[in-house]
Amino acid sequence: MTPRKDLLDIASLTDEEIEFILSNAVPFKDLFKRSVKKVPTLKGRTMLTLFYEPSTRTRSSFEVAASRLSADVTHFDLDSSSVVKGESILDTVETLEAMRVDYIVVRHKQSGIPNLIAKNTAASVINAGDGWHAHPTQALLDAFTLREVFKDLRGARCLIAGDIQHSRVARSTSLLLRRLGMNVAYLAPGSLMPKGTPEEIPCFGNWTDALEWKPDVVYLLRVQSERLEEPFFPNAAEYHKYYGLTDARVQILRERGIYLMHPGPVNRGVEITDRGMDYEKSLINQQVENGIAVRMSVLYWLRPGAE
Amino acid sequence: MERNAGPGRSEIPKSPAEASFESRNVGCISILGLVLIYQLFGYPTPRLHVGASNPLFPTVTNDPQQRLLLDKSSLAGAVRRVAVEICQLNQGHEQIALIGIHKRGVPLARRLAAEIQSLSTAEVLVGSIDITQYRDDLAMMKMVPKLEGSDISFSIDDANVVICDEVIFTGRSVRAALDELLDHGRPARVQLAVLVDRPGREFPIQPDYVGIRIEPGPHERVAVRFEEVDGQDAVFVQPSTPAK
Amino acid sequence: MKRLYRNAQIASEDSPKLQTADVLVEGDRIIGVAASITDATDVEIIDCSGRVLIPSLFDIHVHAREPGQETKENIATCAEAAINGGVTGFIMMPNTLPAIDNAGVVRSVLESARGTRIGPGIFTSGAITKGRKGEELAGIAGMKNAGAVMLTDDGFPVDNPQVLRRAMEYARDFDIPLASHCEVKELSGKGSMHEGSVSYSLGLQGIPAISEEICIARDIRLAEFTGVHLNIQHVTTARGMETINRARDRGIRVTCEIAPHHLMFSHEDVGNYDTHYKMNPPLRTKEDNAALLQGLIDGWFDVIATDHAPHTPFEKNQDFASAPFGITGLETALPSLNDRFISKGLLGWDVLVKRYSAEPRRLFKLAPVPIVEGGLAEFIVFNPERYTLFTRDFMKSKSINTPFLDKAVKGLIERVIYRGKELLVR
Repeated sequence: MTPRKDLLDIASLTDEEIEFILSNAVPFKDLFKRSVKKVPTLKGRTMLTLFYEPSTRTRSSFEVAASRLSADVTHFDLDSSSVVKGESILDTVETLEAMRVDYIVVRHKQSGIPNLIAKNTAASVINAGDGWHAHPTQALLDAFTLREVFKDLRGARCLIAGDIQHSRVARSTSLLLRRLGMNVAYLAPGSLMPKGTPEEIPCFGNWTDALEWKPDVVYLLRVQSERLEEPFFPNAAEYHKYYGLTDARVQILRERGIYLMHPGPVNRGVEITDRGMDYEKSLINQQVENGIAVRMSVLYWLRPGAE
Repeated sequence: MERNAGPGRSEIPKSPAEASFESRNVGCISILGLVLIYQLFGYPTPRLHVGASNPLFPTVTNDPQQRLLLDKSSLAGAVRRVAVEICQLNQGHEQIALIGIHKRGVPLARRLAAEIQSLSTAEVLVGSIDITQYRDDLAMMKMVPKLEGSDISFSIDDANVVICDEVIFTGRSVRAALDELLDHGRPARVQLAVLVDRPGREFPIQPDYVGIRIEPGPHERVAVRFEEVDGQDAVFVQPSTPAK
Repeated sequence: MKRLYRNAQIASEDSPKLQTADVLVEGDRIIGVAASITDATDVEIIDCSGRVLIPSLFDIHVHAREPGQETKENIATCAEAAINGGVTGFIMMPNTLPAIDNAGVVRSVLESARGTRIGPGIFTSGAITKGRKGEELAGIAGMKNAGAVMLTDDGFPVDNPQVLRRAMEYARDFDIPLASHCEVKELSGKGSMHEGSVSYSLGLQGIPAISEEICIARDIRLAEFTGVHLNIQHVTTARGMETINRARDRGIRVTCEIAPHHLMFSHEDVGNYDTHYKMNPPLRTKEDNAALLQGLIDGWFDVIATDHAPHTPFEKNQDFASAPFGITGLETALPSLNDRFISKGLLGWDVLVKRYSAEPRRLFKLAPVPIVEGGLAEFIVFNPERYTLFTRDFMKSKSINTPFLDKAVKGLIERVIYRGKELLVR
């Protein structure tokens, strides 16, 4: 497979590239069973995480992935850096360029920032989540996880439920799963359902209709009620009652053998309950483990300076 | 023919007639017999000089630039010869772990395992390793190789390992394989079996078992084909950049 | 010394057909337009075969950025950009720093304009409210007296309808048109592009069409109530256009503008966060493009106006949400309209002349400049077959924030004649 410089979104990946990343992730996952869980692939390379939005999980996942590929790992400390003093992102990128970093993993609350950085550096840029736009490695690990469960994704049904409007996970994961032949539907309160969703994605406003669609997987999204700037719903309790995965709804999933996914971290009591977290068909921990393998696979494929 | 008076380790064949030996379809049993004689007397494996102008290697494929060195049965003979040697030099070991290097070391390991099982009572284990991530030229490759993954379903700690590869040339693949192997565990002993030994080592690495030694021209490569991978059993010499 | 533009194709607002004629210019006047002029003496002959002579353009929506934002543009560079695009008159927008919201600033920018090669053609609008804050009325009468020809808070709507009502009542009696940038700020929020399938997939907050449409409806109702002449700036949606047209049918004094980019580009062109396609109001859908073009043909738009909005490369080279709104237009409008529409037979020369030359002048009680005997010699020699490549060097504007940067379009302005003088020859 021809290497690429950046991984910015799912839309720009070809089918072959998706298959390449997902199938290479299998041997990377096998690696975790070895006594030495490390390969020399990226020896002498440096990966830097540039997180303008805090995320311990995603950052750690990338850091573990890079370490297992023998890359050196560092992070740009944004709290103490000049970002807060008004240094523009491109100034920061120039600094990183001078440091000869090979891989830059970016997270930013503004959509399109990784694209902008990628245009202005020779380093490989990996989007670790930008605004509401994309979170391609999350989508890839979701697809990888589902491929471990379903032999053939074609025709399987995934219901993505929660704050679709502000979710890069919903956008990237739905796009990738559909590329792989799955059917995807959205469930959200009307105020959190974005305009302009693809016609092929049914949009539901309540659980009854959504479950009638007969999903094989329910993918819950995190609802950050405290960070929403507009009154999208009255309060967390009401959200939980009408749109969350209540215990009663967990029971329905159990009866129908429906799998459960979540990108983490969860908001207990809002989109999910404690019992939901213990649900036996939850794939949440598997998602975390697979995240490392998939990110290794991505780092393996990308190449700084590639066309 | 004076087989027993074959060339020494450092010499090239004395006559074209001698070189032609391996290119003809010689019965397996006779090869095995010869090998046994070789082993008995400590003679090395036959070495072939296969320069591009050698008229004794007839064209047998559609590609006029590709010359057949071993056909199906002579390849099988060479494999058997190596298996016999492995048995001999591993007498007293209860277990032999054959680990093939992707891609064509893997069918070689499987075939050797089958032969050894018919010759010996030792427990024979088979595994495979994908050395891609240990290659020293990975960053320079234009294409990123697809990973096959390593499949070693047994512990290699204290194991008696034979790494199997179809061709040894520079020795770099074996270097990579050794490094990877050590990341899987700590074997008691590691040996190396190859079907084809081609001179040109760039590392101080030598095989313990060799099916055949050949010396193609500088712009030629040795292509080993296995039925499982390529749909055919054969060894060819062909130009290193195949004409399109 | 006279100049004879020989064998030219003359465009006029009265007919889609071009009239082949020779045009003789002496001083600032056209002294002859006839099928063949052969008897002139002391004449420079300019072969215009295959060229279209277009009455020079007038753009009522231009951000010259002076005072305060001269890194983007100033009146002098803006005038040169205008000439480069065949525009010999324009109206400046008051969203400067400080805003053009009092007679003093009006005088100062007009003073600046007089120093350019098209000084008499440059006019300014004044703000509706002080500092364009939507709170207190700006010095409307004073600005009008100093030469302001229109009122607008362009860039912002006047949020408070009561403030807008008072401004309209006041402006009506001073007989000065009031122009509205129509947008309900709360509905636009932090949006940076049209709300739709592209904003969904790019994960950008959208500016819904209703944000513009609701404000259009409100402002028209207020115009009807107050009797002011209301000009709706840069209309982008089919619904908005229909609302305006219905109001006009009811006899309300409302006019409206269409910007070339809203005819040519849609939200799909934003592609991978290309900030050259970011402007407010945003690019809408392809369906809107088609409806707006039909509207232009059907006479639903009074004028074409570019909303020329220069920004520096530094400002535009940011992420999409942070980059400022706006694209330049003065230099690209005519060649691109030819390339996209006129050369393909989708738009007639008469519509172009009427909407981008004659009507904009009439709107401000200026005389149009048709190519007729005795008329002012103010026209463009346009070659519809040659290509224009919009390089940095080609453009005279200080800024190059246009999707046409380094692209070629069919049609080249070869000469610009202003009051008899050739301001540009290539």
